Amino acid sequence: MADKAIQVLLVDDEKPVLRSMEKTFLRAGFDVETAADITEGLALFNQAMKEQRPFDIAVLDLNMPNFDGVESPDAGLDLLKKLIEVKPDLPVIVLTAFDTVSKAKAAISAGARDYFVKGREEGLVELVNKTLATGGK
Amino acid sequence: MDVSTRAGSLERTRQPAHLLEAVARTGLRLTVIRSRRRLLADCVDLIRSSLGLDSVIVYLLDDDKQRIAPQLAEGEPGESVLIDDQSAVGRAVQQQTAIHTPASADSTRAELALPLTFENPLGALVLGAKQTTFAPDEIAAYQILADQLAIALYNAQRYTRDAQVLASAERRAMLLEAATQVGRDVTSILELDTLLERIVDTICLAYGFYYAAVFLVDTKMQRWAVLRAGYGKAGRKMLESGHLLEINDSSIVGWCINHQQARIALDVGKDTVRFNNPLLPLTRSEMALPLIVGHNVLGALSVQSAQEAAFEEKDINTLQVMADQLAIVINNAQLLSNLRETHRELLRTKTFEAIATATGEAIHWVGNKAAPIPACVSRTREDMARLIYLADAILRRSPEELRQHLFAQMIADAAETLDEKMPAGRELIAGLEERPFKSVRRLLSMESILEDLDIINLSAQTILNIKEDLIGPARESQRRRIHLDELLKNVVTSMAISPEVHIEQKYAPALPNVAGDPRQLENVFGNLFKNAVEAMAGRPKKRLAIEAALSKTEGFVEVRVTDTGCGIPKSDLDRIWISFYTTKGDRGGTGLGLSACMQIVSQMEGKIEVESQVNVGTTFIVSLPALAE
Repeated sequence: MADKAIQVLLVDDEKPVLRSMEKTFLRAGFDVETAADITEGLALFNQAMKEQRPFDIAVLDLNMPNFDGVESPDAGLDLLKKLIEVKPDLPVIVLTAFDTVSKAKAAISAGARDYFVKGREEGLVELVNKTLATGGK
Repeated sequence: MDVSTRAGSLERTRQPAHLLEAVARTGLRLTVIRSRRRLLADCVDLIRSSLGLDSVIVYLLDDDKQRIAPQLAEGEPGESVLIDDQSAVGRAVQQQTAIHTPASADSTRAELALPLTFENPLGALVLGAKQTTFAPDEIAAYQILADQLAIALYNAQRYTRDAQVLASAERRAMLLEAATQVGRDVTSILELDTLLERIVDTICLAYGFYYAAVFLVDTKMQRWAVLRAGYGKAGRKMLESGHLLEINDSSIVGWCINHQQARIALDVGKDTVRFNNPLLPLTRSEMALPLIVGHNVLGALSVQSAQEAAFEEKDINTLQVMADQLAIVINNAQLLSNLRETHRELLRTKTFEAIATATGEAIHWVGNKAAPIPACVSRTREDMARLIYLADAILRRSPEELRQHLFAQMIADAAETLDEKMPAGRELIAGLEERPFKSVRRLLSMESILEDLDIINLSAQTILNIKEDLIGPARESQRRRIHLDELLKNVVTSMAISPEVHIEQKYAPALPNVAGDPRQLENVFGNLFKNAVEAMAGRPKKRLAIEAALSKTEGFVEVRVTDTGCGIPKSDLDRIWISFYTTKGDRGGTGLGLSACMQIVSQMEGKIEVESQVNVGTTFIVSLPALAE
């Protein structure tokens, strides 16, 4: 019997980027659910929890509209905190822009497991695998 | 009386009459000569020729009134003699009477010394004739001549004196007038270099000086006075060679600045100075006036004349008045220049900051947009290869005749190429046959391939669109006359703003035109309008007001773009210019263009400002210099 595929929650408000990352994960053998904003992301997460098939890992973009729909550099952080609140052992990888690595480090202090600087998608799959291997599922 | 005596006395009688006539005529001619110099020069020849005399010498009293000196032909006085009884001429003046010296063994000439007196003794007239004596009526006639000459001399002297006084007064008036003219001419000029050039030109013109120059103390090297303007070719040459003078006593200009006092230099009289500037060969006198404002000496004004002793001490006062005025004007121009430079520096820094930040952000923004591309390409390549290999694999199991078909050969060909280009390519279909359809289905999804290509395309388009926004300010701008209201109306129309937004446009009548690149200005306002519309997303009331009118600042036109959007918090008001906001969406969206807007408006010598209240709205104010037409 095949291993159950890794369940990935992917949240990013840039549609082309989101779709491409989703396909990368799919081809890597993961199961992926995507959300284009943090409200939807939280909803997907809660739904999965309810159905007792929690996500194995979440990958969140940091710079997204926050819960009120206003552009905020910390919206991803808000979602991160909410997720960790519900499932403290959930590994979360935050996606950050080139010059806001400091924000990413703040995210790690808030509970994120690692960060990935957006640029090439190359390396993201490896990072997910690595994160899961060292203390995830 | 016998006939001969009668004849002789007739002759005699005729002579005095003729003589009187001649005297009268001569006297008349003398009295019209105004110039003392000319009078002295001409009277001798005049008298001698009209009266047939052998010699005529005019003696003039010395200033000390003790001696008289003959005026020689060259115009220079000869050796003077005392007014005593040692000489005929001395006696004539002393006794105020004609002294007659008949011809003698020593001389074949009779001499007559006549006093030249009008109100006061002026000198003497000595006549010589080749005759033995002067008859009494001759003497009387010649005395009349002498009196007339005396009057003429007196008048000429007085005229000269008067003329001198008049000239002096006129000179004073002229200097003051020139000072006023110079002042009037230059006070409106604010550009320092233009001002200084004008100053030297105007001074030379108004005063008729040979040369004028302005030296300013070098701000960095306080020891030096640098030539900043010089009249004419000589001035230009010295400017080109970077002429400067040390501020010490070695030059008249240096001395003047050092001691903060005016100074005159002449090449005659006491304290002679040798003028040896090869570019100014005609200088005979120079004056340097300090340019002082408050306690600050800015430099010096130097004026040179080709006339000797052209400057008197009393001229200093008049010219210093002018110099003081010039000092104030120069100071103002310098202050303005400093202010402008500071402002430019500030703007450069701010603009540079804005550009640097925007560029940095733009660079990684572009990077973000490009991120999906390699993944999409990789997938597309795989999918395409897989497709070919699948087709090829199935064909290999097909009947021979199928394999001979053209299409089959095309596929086989393609597969062969892939084998070369993608050595591990065949692995893409390895093990697929064992898997259920559902799970392999999506591996051959056309949708997926097309989608990946779309993502690539979209990313590229977004990047290209941003390029337009980014090079907006850097694009070579053309300067045209712009009708603001037309431009604004066009932008509104071309944007096709949603009817949800209520647009108000208010343009003042007779709005002055502005000068600039229409396309760049369209970009600026397009950006502002777009920002406004986006700021009003989700707001109950959407109103965009566009107003153009004369600014409160003279010479400027103001365009106000007001929205009823969410407003900008005070803490962000400065940041909006340098932030490369909103990296999502395909056009960068809100705030992307503001630093570009600022740059474009600055290039047009305008200003852009913002006022905002959270939850009420935002107003952008663009001020542009009005075209003076």
